[in-house]
Amino acid sequence: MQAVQLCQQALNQIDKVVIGKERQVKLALCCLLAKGHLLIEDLPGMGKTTLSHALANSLGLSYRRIQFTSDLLPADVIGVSIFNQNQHQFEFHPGPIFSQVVLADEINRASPKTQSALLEAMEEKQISVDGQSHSLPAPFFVIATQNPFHQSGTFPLPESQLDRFLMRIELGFPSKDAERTMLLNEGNEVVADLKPVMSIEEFTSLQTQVQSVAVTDKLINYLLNLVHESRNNAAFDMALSPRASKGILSAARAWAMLSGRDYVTADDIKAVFPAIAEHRLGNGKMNTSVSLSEQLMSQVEPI
Amino acid sequence: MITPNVSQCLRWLVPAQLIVQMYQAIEHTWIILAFYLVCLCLKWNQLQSGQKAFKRLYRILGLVIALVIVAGLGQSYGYLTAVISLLAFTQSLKLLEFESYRDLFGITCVQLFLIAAGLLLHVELIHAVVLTISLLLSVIALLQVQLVKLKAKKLSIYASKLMLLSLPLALLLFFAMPRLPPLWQMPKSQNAQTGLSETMKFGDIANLSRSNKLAFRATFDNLPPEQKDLYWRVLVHDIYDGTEWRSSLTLKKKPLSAYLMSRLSWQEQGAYWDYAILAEPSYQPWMFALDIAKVSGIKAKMAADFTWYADKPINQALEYRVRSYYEAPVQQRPDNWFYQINLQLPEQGNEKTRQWAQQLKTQFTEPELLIEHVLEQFAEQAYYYTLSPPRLLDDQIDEFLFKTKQGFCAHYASSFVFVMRAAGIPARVVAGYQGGEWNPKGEYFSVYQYDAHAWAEVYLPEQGWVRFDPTAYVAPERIEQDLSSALGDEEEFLANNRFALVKYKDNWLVNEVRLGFANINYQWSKWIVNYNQNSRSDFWKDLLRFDWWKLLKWLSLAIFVFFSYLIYRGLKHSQRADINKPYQQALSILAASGVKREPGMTARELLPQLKALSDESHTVWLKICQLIDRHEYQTESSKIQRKIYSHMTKQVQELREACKNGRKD
Amino acid sequence: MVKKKASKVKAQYKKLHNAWLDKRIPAANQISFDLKNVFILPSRSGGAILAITFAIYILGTNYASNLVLLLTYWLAALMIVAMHWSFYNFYGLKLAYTNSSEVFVGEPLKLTFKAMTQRDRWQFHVTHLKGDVTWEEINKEHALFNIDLYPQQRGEFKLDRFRIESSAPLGLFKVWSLVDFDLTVLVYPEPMPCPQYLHGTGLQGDGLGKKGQNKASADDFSELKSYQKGDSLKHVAWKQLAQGKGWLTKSFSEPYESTLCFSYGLLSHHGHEQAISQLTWLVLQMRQTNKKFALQLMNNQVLGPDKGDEFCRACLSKLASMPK
Repeated sequence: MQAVQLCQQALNQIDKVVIGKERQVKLALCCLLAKGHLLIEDLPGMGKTTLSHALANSLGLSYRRIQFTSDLLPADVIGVSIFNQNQHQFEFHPGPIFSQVVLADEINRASPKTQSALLEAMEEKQISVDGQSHSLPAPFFVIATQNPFHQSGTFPLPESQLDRFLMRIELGFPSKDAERTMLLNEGNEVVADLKPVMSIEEFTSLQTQVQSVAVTDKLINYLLNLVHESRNNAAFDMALSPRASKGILSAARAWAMLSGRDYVTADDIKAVFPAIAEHRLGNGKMNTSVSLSEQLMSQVEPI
Repeated sequence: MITPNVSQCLRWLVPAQLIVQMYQAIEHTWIILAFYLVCLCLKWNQLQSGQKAFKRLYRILGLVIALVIVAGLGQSYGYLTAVISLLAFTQSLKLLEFESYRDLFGITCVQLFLIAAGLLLHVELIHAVVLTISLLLSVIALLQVQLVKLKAKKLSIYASKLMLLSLPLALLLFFAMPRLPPLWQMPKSQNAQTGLSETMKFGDIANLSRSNKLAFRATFDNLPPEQKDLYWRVLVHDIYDGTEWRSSLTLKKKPLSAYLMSRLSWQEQGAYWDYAILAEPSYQPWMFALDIAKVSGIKAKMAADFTWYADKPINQALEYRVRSYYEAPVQQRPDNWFYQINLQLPEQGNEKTRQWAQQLKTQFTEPELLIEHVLEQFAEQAYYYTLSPPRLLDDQIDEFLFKTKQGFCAHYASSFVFVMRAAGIPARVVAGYQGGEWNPKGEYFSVYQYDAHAWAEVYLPEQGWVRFDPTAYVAPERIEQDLSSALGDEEEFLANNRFALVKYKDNWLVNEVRLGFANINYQWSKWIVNYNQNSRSDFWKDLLRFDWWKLLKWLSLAIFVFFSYLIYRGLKHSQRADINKPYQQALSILAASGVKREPGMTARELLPQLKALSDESHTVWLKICQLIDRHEYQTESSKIQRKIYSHMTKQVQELREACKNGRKD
Repeated sequence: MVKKKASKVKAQYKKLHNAWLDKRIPAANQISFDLKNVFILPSRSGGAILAITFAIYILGTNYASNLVLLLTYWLAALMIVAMHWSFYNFYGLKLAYTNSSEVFVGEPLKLTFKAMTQRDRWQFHVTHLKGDVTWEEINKEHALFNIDLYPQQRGEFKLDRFRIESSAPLGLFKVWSLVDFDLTVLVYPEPMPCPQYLHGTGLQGDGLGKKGQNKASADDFSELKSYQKGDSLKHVAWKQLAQGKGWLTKSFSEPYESTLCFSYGLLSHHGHEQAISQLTWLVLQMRQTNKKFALQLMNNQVLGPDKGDEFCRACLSKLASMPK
């Protein structure tokens, strides 16, 4: 049960700086444990950066932030080869993406070219410049944020690229109480001061342990029913891909482990399902009125 | 090095040791067991108070006490007893000092030796089973030390698996390994002789008939003879001194014996029965066979009266093969010696009988007619067959024939022979067993001590020795059936042995069980206890002409049972899905209480609503949630699944009550 | 004389034995136990039971008791089955080295090994030097176990062949293997507190001069670095960007804090080892406070100035492998 304690420590620590967002914090950690990339969609100033930084610090991972702007070029993200005059050869200068946790801020502000450079790196875990490939550090996570408002000069991520993100979460406004604590405790806990609660080795071993959380046929059936409902039901524009179902399962395993269990229940799947399925079902648009994933879950009986 | 958890080990060792100690105590003296129990109490006290194991001084003191006791025992019981009881004492002392890993192996070594000692003296299946349990417990103790964390159940499973896995190999070794002859002479423990004895008094056979101990078993190769033909000859008594019968062979006159042998004439001709006898230890040299026997398979001699004697007393179960030429006539060239012995009577006494015999002699010229007349007398007059005849005083035969007229087979046989001799016809008494119980399961006869019998043989010039059984005229049931039917409802049969199962053989079930057990015991002694070089070749021969059809039959049955089991398990498996049933019940209870369940909701998602309902129902529902989670999403064995199912139904009941209470509030 | 010879023979034997072992069980960072690298022999207690079995056999033969003979055959078969079980307990187990903690002289070195197995296993012993570990049970999947060692000297520490053995399930047989993980761990020197030097010792050859000398103004330009996102736009070398040299950032020497310097030469009057220990402590302090510092070693070789984990680790390695 060492794993559970480690996870709990990390969660507690992050909860101290990201106040009142226990569920989102847990989802974010769950996403990392399931080896997925995370997309945070929210208004500016909701603590997206704080959350990502706190995650990186608590897990003992190196952290970089890239602010995406419309004029940001792929080379700014992945790095450039510069001619070294002394040695008369090109030298690769790694870009900010060479970090274990990369916060890609306001990803939908950048041009599609830059976006896809990042997304490609996310998928391949390596980048190629001038025919040379450079592997990214492991573990490698991208936490991207995007603004929900349809602003001019933004390039919404196409669905194929949304699929690369395991989860999309929204932080939302804090509750009154949470905000009160936040205001009163200002300065007590600073993100930069957070000490890692585990080593990278421990973190990677947690990631492998996640894969050994037990699942039964019943559970797989439930998951398959969900996925097939999304494909067969006309109410959903987009169906869930096999990548999504794989993602749901590993995220559910991580959720089970975070809850201190060594087996996955239907509740675990329901807990992670909206975060994983919503952006895949809804064609990437924010559908504020009805949650598509809730609708889908109500179509399928867990037992 | 591992230090064993002593009390954990003792859990297994103490019962194992108690078994062997009990055996030694019953065999030798109760002091052994008492000593063990004292040591056990000391050890227990030691463990309770957390003291260290006993110091060397105490151990030596204990050893001295033990040696003194053993020396005392050795004097009165013999060398082997002394050695084995010394081992038993050592085990008790070793228990006291048990502390380290090495001690455990010392204890185990002694334990193994004591198990062997037990097996040496007790060869019955039941003892073998009990001692095997002791061995199993010792193995578990060894496992316990190594696998500290395992539960008792798991340990027992491992140990049983280990023993069962090694059993086929052990049996292979047992059947295939050649037997070595004894390397040196070992001292024997002393044992009481059982069965027929050298001399016969009137009451002897009646006494023997009160015992239900097994005498021997006989397996016929072909069709077995009828019950009434089963006269197992053991001893011939031809000398009567007025109170008891004995054999002329006991006169120990070697030349006489040889002379008698030379005057025998018989041929191995005519029909015969082939059979094997598996004799129980009687500690006597005489053997069991039907007339006229030819024994093979062991070292044995035929005496002049056609009885057979083994080289050594039969000290352990012994198997030998016999061929009996039942139709061969036994001619003997009579001479002085012959008449002297077979017409011998005491100088005086039993005058009345002598007179009657003289009278008969003049009345009948033909011996056959005389014999017939005497036997008719037994049948017609009020002679009575009983296990407990009145005591006879001086002139036994007179008193019996003319006064009491109640007797057992020995009475009839003796009187008959006496009358014959007095009438000048050579005759003798034969002691042996008559009949036997046919075990249809194993297809063999079991002959018990209560089948002991005495009959007569008369020498007729033309025919040689002819068997006459006067008892057959008094109580024909004895010969055609068995003793218990001859005695009727008198409850005389095995009167001292209230619980002998053979008394209840009219009860079909009891009889089946009894015969079944008897058969298992027979197979056990035939194949294991008494397995020797000769039967070894039989074993391989049997294997060759093995009944493969029978095997196929059993195999298909086994396969059928196996598949039925699989189907049964499959059914059980599918029953797991049924947890939905109690769950649906629970949901309907909740619906009645106003809990609204949206489609697609899990059990846990209803918890907030139940919290609002009542605390009691909330806790019950939480339990139900856990049960569902375990049942559906945890990989559990089907046994646990079934347990969860039954818990679930209980919880649903509780939920019903909780909801009722909630509504009242 | 004889003793000397005996020890020589012993040494020779040991050499041969080791050579044989190296050939039979070559060093690797993962070992999978199979027929080749597992040894099995009856243990002492197993031998005792075997002897007793033989004695009982004699007893059975002499009394011609079939049952006693059957007992001995059963015991013999039991031994054979137990032998297979003992071996099977070892067979197929995989052992791999996973990692070790950072270690300083005087602290325990915790080496973590992972055992991987497809089925449950029984107890194992690992014997190494003074360390003696027992696993009670290994369940499916994997298990971790640690060996704690106490290295006495800084520098490279080589883990010798160690013995892993088991006598489960009955203790009648001893199964063992001698494994070599080809493992060297760099043991850092023992840190020795010296708070008086926390503010730097300066560099040898500059006197104490350089301390505080870096206190330069904010626009003390030092070098051009490649631009990384997140760098202040204020520091972008716009001129170079215009020239088409790409995005570069002007970097300045630390404007607010001076670079701390620690020099071996200036501490060596405490003695060689002690100086190294003190430097170790100082590096650790720097790492904890995440300050920028430079380290001057023997022969005036300078590391840094720099900060961060990686640099500190480099410094510690250098210190650990200083000549003795």
